[in-house]
Amino acid sequence: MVEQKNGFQSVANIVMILLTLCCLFPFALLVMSSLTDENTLIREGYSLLPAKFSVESYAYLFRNSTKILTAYGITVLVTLVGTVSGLLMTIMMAYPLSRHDLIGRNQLAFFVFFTMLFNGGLVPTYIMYTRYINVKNSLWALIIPSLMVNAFYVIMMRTYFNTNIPDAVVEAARIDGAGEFRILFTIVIPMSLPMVATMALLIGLSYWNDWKNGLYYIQDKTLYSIQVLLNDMLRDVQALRSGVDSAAAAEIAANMPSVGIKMAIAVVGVLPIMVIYPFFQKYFVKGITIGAVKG
Amino acid sequence: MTKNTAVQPAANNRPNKQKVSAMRLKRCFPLYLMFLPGALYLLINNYIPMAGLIIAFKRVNWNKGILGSDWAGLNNFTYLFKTKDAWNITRNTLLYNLAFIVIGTVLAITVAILLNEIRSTGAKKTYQTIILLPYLISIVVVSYLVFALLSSETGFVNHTILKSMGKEGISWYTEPKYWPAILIIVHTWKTFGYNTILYYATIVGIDRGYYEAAVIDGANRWQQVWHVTLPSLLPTIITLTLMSIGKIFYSDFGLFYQVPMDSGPLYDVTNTIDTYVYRGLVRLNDVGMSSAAGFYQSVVGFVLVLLANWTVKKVSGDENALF
Amino acid sequence: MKRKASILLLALAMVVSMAACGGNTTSSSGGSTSSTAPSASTGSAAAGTSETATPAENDLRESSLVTLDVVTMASGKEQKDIDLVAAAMNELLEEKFNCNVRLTFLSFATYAEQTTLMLSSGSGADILPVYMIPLPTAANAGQIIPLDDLLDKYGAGIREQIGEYVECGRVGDAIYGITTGRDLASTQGFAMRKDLCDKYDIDYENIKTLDQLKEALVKIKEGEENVWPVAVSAGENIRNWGWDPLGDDMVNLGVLADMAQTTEVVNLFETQQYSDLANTMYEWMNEGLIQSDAVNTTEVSSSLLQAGTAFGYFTNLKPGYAAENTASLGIEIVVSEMIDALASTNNVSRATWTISSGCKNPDAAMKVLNELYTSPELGNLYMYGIEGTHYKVVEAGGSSNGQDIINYADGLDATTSGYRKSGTWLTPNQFIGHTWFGSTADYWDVTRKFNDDALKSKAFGFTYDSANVNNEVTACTNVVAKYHKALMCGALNPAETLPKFNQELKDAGIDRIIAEKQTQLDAWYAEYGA
Repeated sequence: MVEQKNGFQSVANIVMILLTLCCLFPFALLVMSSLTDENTLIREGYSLLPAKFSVESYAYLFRNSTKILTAYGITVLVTLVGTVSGLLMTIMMAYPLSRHDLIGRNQLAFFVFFTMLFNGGLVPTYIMYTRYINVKNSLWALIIPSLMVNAFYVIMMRTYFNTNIPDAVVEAARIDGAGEFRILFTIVIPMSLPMVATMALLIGLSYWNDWKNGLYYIQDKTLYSIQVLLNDMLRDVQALRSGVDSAAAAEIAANMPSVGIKMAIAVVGVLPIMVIYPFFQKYFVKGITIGAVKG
Repeated sequence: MTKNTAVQPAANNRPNKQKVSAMRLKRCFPLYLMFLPGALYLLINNYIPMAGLIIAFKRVNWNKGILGSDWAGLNNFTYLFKTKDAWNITRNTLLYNLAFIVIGTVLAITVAILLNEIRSTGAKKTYQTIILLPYLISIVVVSYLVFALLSSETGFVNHTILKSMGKEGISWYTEPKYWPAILIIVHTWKTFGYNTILYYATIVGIDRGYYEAAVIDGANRWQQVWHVTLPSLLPTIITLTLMSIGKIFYSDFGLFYQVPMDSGPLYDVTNTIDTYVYRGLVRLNDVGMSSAAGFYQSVVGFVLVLLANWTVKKVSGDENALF
Repeated sequence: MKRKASILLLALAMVVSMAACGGNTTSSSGGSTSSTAPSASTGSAAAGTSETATPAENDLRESSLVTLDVVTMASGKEQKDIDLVAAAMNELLEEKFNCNVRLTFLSFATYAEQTTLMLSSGSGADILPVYMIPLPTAANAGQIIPLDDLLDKYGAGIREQIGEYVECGRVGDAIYGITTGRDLASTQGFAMRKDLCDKYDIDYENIKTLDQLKEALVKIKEGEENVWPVAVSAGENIRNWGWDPLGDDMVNLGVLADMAQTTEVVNLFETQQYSDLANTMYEWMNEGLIQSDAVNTTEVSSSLLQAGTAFGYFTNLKPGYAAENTASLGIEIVVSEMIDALASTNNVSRATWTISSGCKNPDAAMKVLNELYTSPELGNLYMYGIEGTHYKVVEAGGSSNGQDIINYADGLDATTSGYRKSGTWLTPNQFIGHTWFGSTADYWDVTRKFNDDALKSKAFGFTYDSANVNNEVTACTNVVAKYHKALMCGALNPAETLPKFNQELKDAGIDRIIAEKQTQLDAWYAEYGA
């Protein structure tokens, strides 16, 4: 019996190791190509063990470090502010929905959920943000449009509260004379750390990886976040494809970063997440709870 | 379920109904207050811009304003249905999404169960961390990774693998037959880690008592999975699938446009509603027609979700339905 | 379910109310070309200043300070220095017109998206070049305003500078866009490395046909093992080979073929010329003369030349092409001109300066635009920045147009300058400005002459409006995208592909597009042609 179990263990481990290798291999290729000499790359192709190493791409990034550091700063700031406010808003929507005695809770939940199915499209949203709420060319433009990046997070959080916070706890606190806000912030949130941490990671991730708001609302290059910068460089090829004329093509060509530099920027963009993620990971599994829209 | 328990006492006790409601309403007030900022935000960020959907039915002239522009009836929609391509892009969008849903779900559940079986906590943590990595990077970077693998000149597959096997390189970006597989692999590679964690979280939450009871009944590991784990996962599966169905007419633009490098010979298998609309309209700059496409995608998704939800209610009861 | 319905109703109610207010605001900002509109919108000073007499020299000054958003495309201009340059420009503009400008520079990558959004929302841009989106669509969607009256009032200088090319900004009965002073015709040909030409004794100046070019390419193929004779930029090998695409330069749905000397609109993909071209490229690809991953390469051909792995590439040529690219690539480039210069509306109207319908002060906008086209002082500031800070004068008065020859200021280069020489070809008028070091002294005058001498397409000045056939255009664009570039790269066998391609185009409705184009062209030709 024990042997059989060990046999199963090794099979399970082997399968998992193969899967993790599949996940890691492209990253290895990414990192190695950012370290390959440019001409070697063009001539001899991508390889895990390049014939000629070069740190020129990173040297180039370092030479342009003010731009990149500013962009990093913007990204960090936006991610922090956005995550905290988005999280707060999500929690404050989720908690009332989790309360069984709230009148109209299912309708309100549907009000939240409905936004996932329909949206007005880019142009109306753009008009809203530039003409009525003037966020263009400010850091707010990177923060506000993504506050409720995924309405389903509210539902996920509501389900978590439902399953993990016993009604009795809330009831007891209320009998002690605590108000709803106090109950939420001193009892419910501390009891829901795994969920809060998970949400923080998910919301934070969407802020970190967001480039669309930058694309639409930011023109001032000093407000570029790291992803906007990256996207700007990578999208030049697309501009070429969509048919610019010769003068523009020549200029794009002259400014276009080499493959190595693109890869290096990608590495630089993804590295911090890979460093931070393991710290959140222990909460991740405990925090996720999937449930229906109705409660 | 809970709604019923809440309403019943009031119904039984008619004279008190109003008083109870008033009291409840008063008690609910701080909760509404709490809900308000988010609700206002959704109103401004999501609901009011939905007014813009009206553009789909207009021949927009910005000088006259959206409302003042002439009505176009359904003219903005016809291009989505009229041509031979219409069938092709609809089929591609639907089939890819179905494949993603089925393959993604099966793989994620399998891996989640495997992960749960592994005893070494260290190994478990490491696997969890690594399989989520692809989820963290942007699709643009993914498209460069795929190119590094498949480029006919410099790609890893042609240059290193096939060459060392003494085989001819394949011109990947001009051979449509490989791409359904490639796109499914890339999408699955990118998302299975996240989905695995979603299912794994549910599995971890299953009461150990069920397994113990199953063991006492003489269930082997496979039977435990079949009779305990999978039924416990059902609500999660249904919820996630229903949500995917809501998006079934959408496609990840990056996956279908950037990953195949917009290569013409691949269009038969890579053109989806989103890429078709983009390619056709980027030069036309017609807001009405692109709004029409968005409207069409939302409505079909919405109707399908309602239908699927209704089916779930009929088949497996109210408690598994999404709403 | 009832409650869900009520939520839907609520949303619907909001839709209606939103649409109402959206409509109001948009329409109130709509472009009025009358000269009485402007002052009302800006500030209280209006009444006070307007009573001071209006003698002729003060005529152009706005009664109260007007600020205009001027948008264009360029990379490498830092915000700090943009503000500096704007301040310098404002000094000139404030004195002459009582106007200020706010400068915005968008990157290549975001230009199409951001300008579309700006034009649709009516905010953020008063004066801008419409580029990467079609002029007729912007005009018909009411995103930009007709300029005829304004040109008559304030634009004499523009007409003088741009000449008959102004006509190319016509959509229907009005002129909407003014083209920029740049190379407006195009010559097609091949650009290549001089070192290899010398090594293999290639007489590049006398290569006039594809067969002659092939001889040269074969020499390279045989002599250099690791060099592709033909490199391709981002999947596009040949864009044009002497036809007038009549407004669809990327998709070519209905063209005037063979140097465009008739007014008969034909399907390019059914012409003998196209089939020959596709067959030649297919042959070249099979003989290994074209880069094998041409269709899906993400690189630019010039970077392969720099890396030493390619010999040359097909391109649009213009005067000074070789010198300019020699300077920017750091390797010596020479060219073979194979198709003579052809001027079609398309080249001209691809980038035109316009006034957005969101502009509250179109008169002031036209005055500033006219000044940008005619004043070297203002134009140089906008294009090259501040003398001494961003550039230095290498030879005062050294350019044949009377301006200076300039270069980056000491200690600065393209990467360190806060106001890089970038996107200048999209600024209103380069002809009146300085000449950059490295170009010939008569560069601008030669370019002007090139424009004047180019063979004009029969449809020169005709702008086609796709509104009636948008459905067909969308479908055909997808079909063309599927085959055209790949055929031009030689990646598909024309014998199998061309019939399929043309059948799909027929199914997608190309005949209706061609008929529509023909009708519009005939109507235009009767009124403006010849």
